Amino acid sequence: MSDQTANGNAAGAEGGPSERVGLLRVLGPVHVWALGVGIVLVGEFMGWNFSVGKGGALGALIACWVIGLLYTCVAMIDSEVTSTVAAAGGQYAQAKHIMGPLMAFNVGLYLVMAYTMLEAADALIVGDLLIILAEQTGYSGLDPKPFVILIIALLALLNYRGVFMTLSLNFIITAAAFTSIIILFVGVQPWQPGAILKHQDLLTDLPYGWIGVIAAFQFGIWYYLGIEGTCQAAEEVRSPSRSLPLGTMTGIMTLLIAATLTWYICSGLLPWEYLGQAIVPLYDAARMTGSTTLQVFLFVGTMFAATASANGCINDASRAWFSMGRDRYMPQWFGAVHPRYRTPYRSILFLIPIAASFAFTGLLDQVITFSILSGLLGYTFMPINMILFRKKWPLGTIRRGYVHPFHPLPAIVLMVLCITTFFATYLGFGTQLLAMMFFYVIVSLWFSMHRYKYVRRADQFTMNWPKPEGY
Amino acid sequence: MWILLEYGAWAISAGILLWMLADAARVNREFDEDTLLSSLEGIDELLEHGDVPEAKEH
Repeated sequence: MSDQTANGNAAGAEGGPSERVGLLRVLGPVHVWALGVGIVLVGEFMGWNFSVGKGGALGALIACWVIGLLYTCVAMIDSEVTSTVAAAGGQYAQAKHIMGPLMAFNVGLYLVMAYTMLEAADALIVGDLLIILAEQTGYSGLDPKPFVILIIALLALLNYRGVFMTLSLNFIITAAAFTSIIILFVGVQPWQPGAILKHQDLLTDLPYGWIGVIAAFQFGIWYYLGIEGTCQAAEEVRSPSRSLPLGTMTGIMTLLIAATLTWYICSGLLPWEYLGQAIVPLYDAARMTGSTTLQVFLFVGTMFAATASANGCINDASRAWFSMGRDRYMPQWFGAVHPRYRTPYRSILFLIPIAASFAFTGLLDQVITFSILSGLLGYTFMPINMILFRKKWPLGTIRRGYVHPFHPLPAIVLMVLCITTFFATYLGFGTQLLAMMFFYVIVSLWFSMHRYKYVRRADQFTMNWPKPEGY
Repeated sequence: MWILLEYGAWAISAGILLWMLADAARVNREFDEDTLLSSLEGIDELLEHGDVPEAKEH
């Protein structure tokens, strides 16, 4: 942890505000990759396969690639804006500078809700995996709650003690989980179609037609949900203008490869009727090969992926909450930084009981649905944000570390795909979607009528930018 | 064995959470609030000094 205390401007007990305590800039592109891919990769091991139940195997492949396009647009837009707005809070800080306080408040809440609920879902998955392991060793009736709280506590401790170790560990376990998918792909001998993989026998036409394909979109999100979390590291990377675009773009490429490999392996080993409701499809695919070694690799890979995801979610949710506290969108008390570990320690501690209470409900599908809906609301904000960003500060008026090509095409494509995915979600989870919208309307009213008076209206704009065009 | 692991998990979790709470309380006691809240929103110092060439639109 020596890197955590190396910076000379750490304040002492008698230090005043002139000796500032901020987050540490210790991360590189590898950590950004580990944060983005680490949060997401668990979606390759489970969840995505419910899209097969809606649209069949081929419908799920269409959803995989169409939603892959949605997230490629997200990664391109995020890379440009975040390479310029290099602040913790990611999309919250972007919205604050480009769109205004009410949008920023909502985006900040989307981020905290999406990551905290995803963390709870990951902890539930670890508990479910241990139940499977206990049953395979002859013990039934394992209570997953102590293990759920243990994984949340261990990862919170890691996050509390410093970001460098947190994301270095995430890199190792994420790389190991990704390697397990590659090993399984090699193990099913894709160069010999028909030997192990039976695509010719298992692939069918679209069972529910094109409406089934659209309905599959909501579960296609599982392949990529959370890649936008790379932006939360903006205040802790050594060179945000280089590291964030590099980490984010290599991250989405990794996920597109992992998603396609996952679909190819599973659709060649499992009939769509089973695959569409399996709990751990990649592990089931490994079992179908009959190889104990592959089963062990995939069990460990699934466990690592869930752990990496929960770890990254704690990191991201706490940064978003911390940033809102620092700007007084939430009580300023949450904007504190630990003087030794240089982490937003109060935000990390505050979010532990919230994640644990979501996890203790045991309702994995409901928890993950609310996480997806919050994420989707965040993606819908991005195209509007991008168009306003280019309009208010055209190219050449401020320095950008990365400029995404073909503007405004990615923003338009992202908006169209978000609307389509909202429709798909409404087909399956209409009540939850309306409940979520109602929640955000209520908290927006609370912010406008009560909380906004505490916001540091001038101090919150920290970027050294010229006045926007037209103002 | 699994029952022992369950009790062990509860105990370790409680220990970790208590340690974090105790550490947070110690920090709150030893450092004044202005110092703890003194963080400023980050600015990319490389961009600020202008030593990164501006990206061009493709």
